Amino acid sequence: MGETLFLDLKDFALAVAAALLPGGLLASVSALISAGAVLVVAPVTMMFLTWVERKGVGRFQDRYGPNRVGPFGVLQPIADGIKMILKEDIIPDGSDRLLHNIMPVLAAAPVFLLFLVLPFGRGMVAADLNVGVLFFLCISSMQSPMIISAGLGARSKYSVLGSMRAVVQVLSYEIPMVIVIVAVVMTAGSMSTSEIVAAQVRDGWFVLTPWGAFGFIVFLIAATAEANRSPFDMSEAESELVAGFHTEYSGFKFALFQMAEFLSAFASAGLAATLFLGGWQGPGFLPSWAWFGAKALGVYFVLVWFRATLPRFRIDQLLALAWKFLFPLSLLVVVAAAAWYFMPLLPALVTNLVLLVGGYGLLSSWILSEFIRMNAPRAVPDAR
Amino acid sequence: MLPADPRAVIAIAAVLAVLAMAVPLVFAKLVSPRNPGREKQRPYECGVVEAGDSWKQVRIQYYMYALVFLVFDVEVLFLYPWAVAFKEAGLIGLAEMFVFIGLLVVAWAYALKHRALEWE
Amino acid sequence: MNAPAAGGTVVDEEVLRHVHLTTWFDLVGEMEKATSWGRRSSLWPFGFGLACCAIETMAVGAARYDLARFGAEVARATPRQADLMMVSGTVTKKMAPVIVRLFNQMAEPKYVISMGACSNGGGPFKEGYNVLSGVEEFLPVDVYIRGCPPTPQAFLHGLMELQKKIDGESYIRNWKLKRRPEIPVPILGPDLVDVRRAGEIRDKSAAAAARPAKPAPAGRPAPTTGDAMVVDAAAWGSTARSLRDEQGYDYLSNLTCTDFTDAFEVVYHLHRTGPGGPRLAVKVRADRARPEIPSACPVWAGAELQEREVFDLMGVTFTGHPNLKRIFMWDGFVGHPLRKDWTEAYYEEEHKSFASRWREGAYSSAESRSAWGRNVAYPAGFDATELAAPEPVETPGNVDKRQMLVSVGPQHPSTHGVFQMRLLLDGERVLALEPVLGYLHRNHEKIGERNTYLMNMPYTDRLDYLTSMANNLAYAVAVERLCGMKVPERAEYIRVIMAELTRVMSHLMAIGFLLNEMGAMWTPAMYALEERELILDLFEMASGSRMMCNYMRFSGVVADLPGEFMPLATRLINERLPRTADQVDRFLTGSEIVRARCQGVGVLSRERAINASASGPVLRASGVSYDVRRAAPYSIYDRFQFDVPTFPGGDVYDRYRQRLAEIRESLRILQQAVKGLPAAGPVIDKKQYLVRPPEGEIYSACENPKGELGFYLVSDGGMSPYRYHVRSPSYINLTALESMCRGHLIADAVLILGSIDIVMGEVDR
Repeated sequence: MGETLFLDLKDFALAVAAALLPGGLLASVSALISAGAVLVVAPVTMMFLTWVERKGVGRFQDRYGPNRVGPFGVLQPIADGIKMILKEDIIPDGSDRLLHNIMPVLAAAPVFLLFLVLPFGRGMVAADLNVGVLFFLCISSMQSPMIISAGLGARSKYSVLGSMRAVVQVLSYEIPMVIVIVAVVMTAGSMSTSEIVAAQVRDGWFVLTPWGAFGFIVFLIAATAEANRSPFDMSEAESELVAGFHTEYSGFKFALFQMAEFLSAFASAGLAATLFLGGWQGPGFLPSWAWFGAKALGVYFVLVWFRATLPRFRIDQLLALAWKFLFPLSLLVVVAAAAWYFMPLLPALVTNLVLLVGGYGLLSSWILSEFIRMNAPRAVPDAR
Repeated sequence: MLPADPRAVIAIAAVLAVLAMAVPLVFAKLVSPRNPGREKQRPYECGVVEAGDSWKQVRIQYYMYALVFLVFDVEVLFLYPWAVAFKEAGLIGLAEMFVFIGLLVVAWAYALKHRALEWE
Repeated sequence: MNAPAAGGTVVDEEVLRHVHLTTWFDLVGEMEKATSWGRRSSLWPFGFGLACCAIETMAVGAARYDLARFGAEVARATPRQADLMMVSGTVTKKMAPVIVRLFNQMAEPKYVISMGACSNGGGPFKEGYNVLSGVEEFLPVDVYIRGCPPTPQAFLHGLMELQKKIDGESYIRNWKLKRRPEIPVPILGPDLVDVRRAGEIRDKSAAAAARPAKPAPAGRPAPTTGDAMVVDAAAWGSTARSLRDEQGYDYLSNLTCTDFTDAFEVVYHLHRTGPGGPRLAVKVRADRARPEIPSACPVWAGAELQEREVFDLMGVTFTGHPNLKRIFMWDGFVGHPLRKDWTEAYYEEEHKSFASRWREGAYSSAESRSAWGRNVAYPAGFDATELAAPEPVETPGNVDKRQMLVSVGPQHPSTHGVFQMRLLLDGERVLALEPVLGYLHRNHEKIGERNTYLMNMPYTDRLDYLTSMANNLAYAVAVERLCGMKVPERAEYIRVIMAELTRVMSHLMAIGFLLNEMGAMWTPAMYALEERELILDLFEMASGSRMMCNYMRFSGVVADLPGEFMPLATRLINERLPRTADQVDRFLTGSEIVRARCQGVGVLSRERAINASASGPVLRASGVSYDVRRAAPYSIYDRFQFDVPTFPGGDVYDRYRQRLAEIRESLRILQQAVKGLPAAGPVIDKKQYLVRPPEGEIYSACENPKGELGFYLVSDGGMSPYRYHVRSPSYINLTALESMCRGHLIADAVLILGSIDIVMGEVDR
């Protein structure tokens, strides 16, 4: 139906460019169009995502959410943006001016690059790298030094506490995430995102296999933590640290941090859809890019659901969850994926279920007892 | 139709992304009011002025996590090429890689036992 | 602009219809409209609430009124990211520097809404010595909202007025080009010093000193003690120990002091948790010239905060107290306010009604009668220009480079109001915790001595502003006991229904806000607020007001229940509220995150709980089965069948389960009360405006949702109490806070505070 809509648009633009510009520049123009398309779509997506979040959380809490600013409140993100541009920019004494000015930009800019390797539809990857997944992981781990510098640079006690927590959290959840992706790469035989989707088109969505289901869950939890979203939003824990690492950032700089958070959450949702949910694959009544959008939005909605309903973990419990629960579980997923490939169906199914369900059961009861053990107060010297 | 060279796309996108974030920021700084004052410039602390700098010495525990992360990140670095060649490597490659992973599981268990991964 | 030209051509008409002609100047003006639209549609409130009005602010954000429709539900807790400061509640002098500093730290464009009578002009607490007569003295207010507290509808109206104001203002002229100087932060000297008026203060000092002083109240000598045990000050230390160890009086209910002309009388009310029985009252007299008695802290830890209060407000020194500093007033404050010979700046006469009000229809304002023109008083010769705000230095205790001194509060989303905890941290671990109180000290007890007995009833609403009906009940019971009044049957049942509905509401909110502190992003709190709205509908039907009900009277209630009350109440009590309790249980009790966060955190052992005078759910969750409804029954509670649940652990999880169990028990009582309510009958025995209790005193306590709410009244036979003291459960429960928090992480400290469930109106009074 509208399957090749965007590809046709790009061809049209290229044809226009070919008529106007010398032939040598055509490759650059093509790159420019692909890059530009992503950079235009991303902010619009971010506005839509904030609207989804506010309406969604509102509905979870049995209320309407914004509905006065434009029909159904769709103009609310635009009003927020206008307001934030007009807010005074305060750089507190003692904080590093250069860091304060640059960090928001450097935190938000890499997130756009994440969208370049996501396959939005059949043949619609902006940058079809053969190490696409690795590129995604590298760029998404660029976020953490930015958050740390932002918090430390602001030199307020809350910011410092918040950014230290963010460092450790992001590091710890990186490992299970990349290990689970190893399982996907194993089965697909390539690190290119379009290849992974092609493998799922051939063999069925990975989430429908036992190892894929658990892998998806591990990936979802780890990606939520990487994006600093609830229940892992320790670094901006509103109820304890006021606003964590972005306490001292006002106006548009705060908007940039928000953009970084929402877009990286959505990019992770898109990656989850690509790696486990079959990417753009779906029955023909919708074009492929609509399927991808629907799946990414569905995963994002689950993240909003987490935010609206789950309380937050404490930092040490969060780290225990990563190292004592997710890490061994992700290794089990890799073993299960290997078993799935090498064994015929029935023994593979049995092995997988035993490994994964049994492993999950053991690990979850262990981690809960660990959590309660960790609550015991430590003897502290009498400071008075 | 010419598929764009991915590296060119990434390079252009990186530059454009930084510009797209920086230009509105500069615009915002020009357009927004500027009214510094002594109290405004103080770091925020719930409305009171408390003593003490916040750039204190960081506890060693943060470094412990970073060290363990480094070990496992290098492990993952070796896992990826094997994962790509997984099917060609066959059962023998699988066995070798499991030995590798097993060694690192032992390392993990050691770290757990010696409480390197505890918060305190 | 596009004026129609007479006899115009086709081109002219097309221009008229499709082309917009303007000048550069007007074009900027029209772009400003877009910016105004953006700013008015995205007003983010500052997460800042002082007192009772803040609760209505939260109710506006809740599901029934939903501030989110206006785009204003994003309450940021840091001033850098907030646009709108809503001063909701009484502005005290201690809090004024904090408010001004926070306002200065907000990023422009910023707006101020003054919400409620207190921040408009002092409100009911205007005469207090610690109260600022309106926040406009320091902050530029954009919109004033009337009410005490304003209903959510009034608040939304105020917000819409602010939006209209933003629509009409020019961004460039008002914000970009206008230089707004920073407001200098007032300094806490002998009284609050507005730095801008330093010269005026110095100039007026002589004139103020020359004014004839109003005669201070006379006071009276200490009466014969009745059935209290009098102990000599020198022997008090050993007597206290033997009372606790040999006679078993292990629980200190109340500790307070009365100022008589010949002595300060410190009175202790003790209770035995083991065998029970009536309370023992012990009095220790301190010499007026040099009031000093041994501290009871080594014996009962619960004396710690109460003795600090007596020291602050009366000036009695307790030797052996671990930390005898002022607690409500700040360190430089001059005088001990609750003494009879200490008069506040707006003092007129000893008892209301004052001659200056409404007599012959002429009313003269307090400001015109005060020497300083405001609610302040400085000593003679005070030169404010030499006063400078002290800059804090790192004390030796935290010069260690790893330890960090952090202040949580007084403005903080999770401290249940204006409460400050100064934490000494090592990384994230709490080494020491110092609570700083007094930011909402509204001089309830001093005002109470001026009010007549009935005038105090609406002030009790504002103690624990979430449970106004229960506060009313406790006060009414106290005065009725003092006077020996009887209450008719129907009134008793109505009172029990109101009190238990209040208990359900308060516990639901406590659970909801506990989950809030855990980071559940308001969802459980929203559900709790939804149930609260239904219960407030009932209160509004009966008493006319949602929050400040002022419903009970001495020997009854003010008015009978309207017809629509019982059907709605029955439906709530029999169907909806039990379902809510089950829902809370299903979602939260088994949740792994809740268990992981709450089990084993903040353990309060049984012995420590008794010794620290904890009461209410905090005490019962530590395994002590002490409920005032059973220990010293009041009203008709002895007719109802209900259990007093206890839990052995004493951690946050057990306190959560305790409140849930108490909700279920309250529903049981309510179901019985609704069935047993007499169909008709008088609701008050004797309507009277002026009550003159016979000479004497009484300590009467009731089981409030937060704990044991006690009133200690000393009557001299007149229209106003001679001494009026509130034994506040939240205040005394805070005694155990530091010992519960030491060794835990910051996140746990916030959670432990939430599990104690304090309300600042009651803590600071």
